[in-house]
Amino acid sequence: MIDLKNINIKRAHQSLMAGEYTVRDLVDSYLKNIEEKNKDLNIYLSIFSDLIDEQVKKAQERIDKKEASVLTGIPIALKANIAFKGQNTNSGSNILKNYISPYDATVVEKLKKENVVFLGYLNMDEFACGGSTETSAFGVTKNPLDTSRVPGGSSGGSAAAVAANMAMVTLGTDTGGSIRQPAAFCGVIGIKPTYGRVSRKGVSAMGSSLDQISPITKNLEDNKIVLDIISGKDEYDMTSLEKNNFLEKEIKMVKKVAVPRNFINQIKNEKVLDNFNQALSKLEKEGYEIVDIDLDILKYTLPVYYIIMPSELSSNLARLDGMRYGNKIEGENMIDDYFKTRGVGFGEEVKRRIILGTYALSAGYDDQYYNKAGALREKIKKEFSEKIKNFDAIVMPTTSDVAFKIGENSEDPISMYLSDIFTVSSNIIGNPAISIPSGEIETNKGNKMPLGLQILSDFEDEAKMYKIAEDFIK
Amino acid sequence: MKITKEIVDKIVNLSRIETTENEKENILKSFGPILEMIDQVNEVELSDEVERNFRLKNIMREDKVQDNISKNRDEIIALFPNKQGDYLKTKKILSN
Repeated sequence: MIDLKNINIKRAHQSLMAGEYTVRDLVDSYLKNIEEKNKDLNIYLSIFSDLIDEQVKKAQERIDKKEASVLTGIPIALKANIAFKGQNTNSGSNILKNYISPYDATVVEKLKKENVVFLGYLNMDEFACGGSTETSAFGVTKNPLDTSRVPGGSSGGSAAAVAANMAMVTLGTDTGGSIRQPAAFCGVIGIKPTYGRVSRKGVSAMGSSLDQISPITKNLEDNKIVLDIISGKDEYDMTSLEKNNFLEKEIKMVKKVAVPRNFINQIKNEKVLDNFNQALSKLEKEGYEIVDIDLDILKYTLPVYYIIMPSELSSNLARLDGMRYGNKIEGENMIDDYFKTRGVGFGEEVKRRIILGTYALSAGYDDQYYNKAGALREKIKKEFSEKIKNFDAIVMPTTSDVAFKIGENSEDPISMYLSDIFTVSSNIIGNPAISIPSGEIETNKGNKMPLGLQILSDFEDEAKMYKIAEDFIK
Repeated sequence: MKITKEIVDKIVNLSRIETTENEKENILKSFGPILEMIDQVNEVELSDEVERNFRLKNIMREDKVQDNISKNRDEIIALFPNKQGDYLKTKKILSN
């Protein structure tokens, strides 16, 4: 039996190369876990059954010829909004329930070159609209650590799959915290890289100026390996960045991290604050000076986010009209086709956000909302850049509490939106941020649930972010 | 800004989403607190300079003919909800 709990990419690679086990053994161990647990947890939406044998064969051939890369044969699963040719990229929505992607996302192309083994598609909030995976048209995913709780979202399936040993690595997308929040709720590692680090070609667009694809893993080394492979300039995403060896560059640490204390003090759960303060002590022991700062402008990141994201979403989802693809509902005339297709195809939260975005962009309100939010976003970026110059990073908790109960926030959009409060900043600013497990707190009846520490570094400075995370985990 | 039934009707229509009266009422209800939250952006006074400098820039590329679409042509056509041969079929756009 392969010990999936303590496995990592390099160790698996060594074992595969040494012939201790085969790609088939490794993949079957994950498939067995999926078979046993998925019925209850609802983490996978589909398994790429018809492709697995061929992928396993090709990976094994490369390993036998000693031509394997470190990722060859590694089992990976994808959030269901990342295009994979021939598979049902449904983005958790009814409107795409029969949609078969005609092409691969750039990240998929890159990973195919390494001959990873793609296992399947993972559950998510519909079109990434949600923080709990409850808005999926295909049922809620349960948190593997406590099945009465949500795994977070929108990449809830991606975080839960890693936590439940149902894939070694998964890819998710993060628009306002959709990787970091579920990673914190499931006790795993998730990052949102610098905007432009990873090509967005082939990801179902939510907020185009905010979206990034990135890995969720159990350890930092795996995270870096996968981010390294999927990053880089792509001629099909004009916002993508040149790689410039961003992970290998020399870093100069000042050994100081900043804490926006006023912003964090709005957390009501004392245990969460205690956990955060313990994390700070740990960093202090590693030689970091902890400095409280005022960065009061951060309180506007959430309202700015809830203007920019729905505006961009409403425009991005306009393409889903049932004309060229998707689950079309026939009406009396063409315009009626649009209304019926979208009325039936979209769930409540997606509708709410499309309508909110349409409102924010509509004539008479655009100056007050979208343009104002855009200008304020520039001001936030400027203040952040000035502040972070004197520090290695800004640290915050990832979330203001542990994973909530299924159904607890689903009737109240505002309390759901507030769960993004500490994560949206780095999407608004564009800088990288990581969530790493910071221990557990007691919930009720002696149950324990994990929390995350969030480390935000300067634009394009992932290397520094990972270094602090390594020091913290030491 | 206070949201009214009339505004909801107008925005729902612009959004091209069929909505029941019940759903519209829910939107009206849930929008109150959401708009209150996003309206906070109007508390901040921005200098004219910052506001003037807010411009989204387009990044252009060469308009080269590439052979990418034809690679996936059959898969794309297979997705058409209505078709005639290899053509996408829609209902009449202009009425009499």
